[in-house]
Amino acid sequence: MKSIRDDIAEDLYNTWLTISFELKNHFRRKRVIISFSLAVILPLIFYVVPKIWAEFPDSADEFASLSLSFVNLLIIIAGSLFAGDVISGEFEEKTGLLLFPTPQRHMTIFIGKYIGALIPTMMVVSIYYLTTSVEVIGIYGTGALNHNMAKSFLVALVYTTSAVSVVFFFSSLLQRKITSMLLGFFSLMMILPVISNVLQFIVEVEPWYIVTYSAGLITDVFAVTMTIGGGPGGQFLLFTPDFHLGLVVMVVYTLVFLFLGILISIKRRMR
Amino acid sequence: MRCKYYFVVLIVVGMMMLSSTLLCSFQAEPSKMIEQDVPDEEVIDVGISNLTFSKEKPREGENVTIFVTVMNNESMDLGELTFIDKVNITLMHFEDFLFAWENITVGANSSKTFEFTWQATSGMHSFTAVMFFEIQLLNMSLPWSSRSAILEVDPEPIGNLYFPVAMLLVVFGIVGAAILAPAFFERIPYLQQKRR
Repeated sequence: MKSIRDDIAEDLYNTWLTISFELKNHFRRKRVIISFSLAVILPLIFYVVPKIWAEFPDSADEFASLSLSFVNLLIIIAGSLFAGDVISGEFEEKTGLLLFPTPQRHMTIFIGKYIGALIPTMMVVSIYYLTTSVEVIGIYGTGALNHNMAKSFLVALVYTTSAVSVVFFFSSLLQRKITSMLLGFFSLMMILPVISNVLQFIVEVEPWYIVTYSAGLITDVFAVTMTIGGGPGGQFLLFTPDFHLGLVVMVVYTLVFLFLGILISIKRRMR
Repeated sequence: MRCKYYFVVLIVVGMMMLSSTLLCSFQAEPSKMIEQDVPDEEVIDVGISNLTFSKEKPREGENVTIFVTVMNNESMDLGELTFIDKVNITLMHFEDFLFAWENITVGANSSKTFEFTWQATSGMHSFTAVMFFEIQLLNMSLPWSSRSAILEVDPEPIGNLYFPVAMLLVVFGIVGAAILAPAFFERIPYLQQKRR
């Protein structure tokens, strides 16, 4: 029988093998290039359009808040691209018949696949923030970059882990790649935001337990005053997610959906 | 009796319209508005000359002092002007409407600054200081001079850098532990027996 140290070293090596295999797969399919291009083009729109037709917002925080309001969308797109078929692909293409009987522990396979999807998604988010930061420096100077940007970046990374987990869960639950990708995408893009809005505006209850509601923290940390309806004092107050609670909700989603996904994947049998 | 009532309403409406028109046209020189409001058309150079705040862009929760300066360029004290029974100043806030009220006296040929404290809440706020004079004969209060200013209050900073870092560490820690856990669980005799 092997020692516990050898076992751990082998598990770590196997996980690394899965991660590198997944990353190579993503690069081979050109998904990385597509999402990296989006991460540069989307924030550039917020620079080019006001430069030509309008004026930039008064403060760097306002500009960053506006530009980063679309990072949620990119996280969902990238998460669906990288994690959407990560398990369902093995079942649909029957490649699992080769992968699952290997002596590698299933836990290391699935966690490796999750990390393999998480890394490129986090890279996409980082590029988006890097582009926005360069724009802020270009417009407002280096002094305009403050800790709010770093705070927003970290919140976006935590949200990325939960978004990838949700998509990973659907991927382990469903048989077909396209269905799991679409369900993962639409649940984060439409279903959860619709539930959140209904609860907020019709039931008038704070939907603190919905992860897409907590994702609002990505731009909320800039604490930019929003006046709707015009006129002094005319501030329209909505529910705003609590910073600590929102992040805890994201982490709970990450862990629950990841381990549920892994559990379902381990129990599933190839047909 | 009814006739007198209509007359009073007419005066009030007329004076309100006049004062608002003048407020728009002479915002830089509010004291000159007074001459329009004096019943016998006498020019009286008394009014609110300034409305400022202790902080230009305060943060939510901070105490802001609102300074209202009243100047009296006449040769008699403000409280003693013959046709006025009483003078008071009211500070109106868009949300609270009546924010503060104070009876004032300003010496002849001088100005006096009155202070009001307000705990800032986030958003845009409009403050209007209005001087009223009371005519005892008609038992009514009429606006005399006013000045408005808008104050933008920044919301309290949300969150910190440490908590999201801690949350990321929790996620990576648990995921890392999940990779290592099977190696430990396999060595638990009870689980070994169960697997067999």
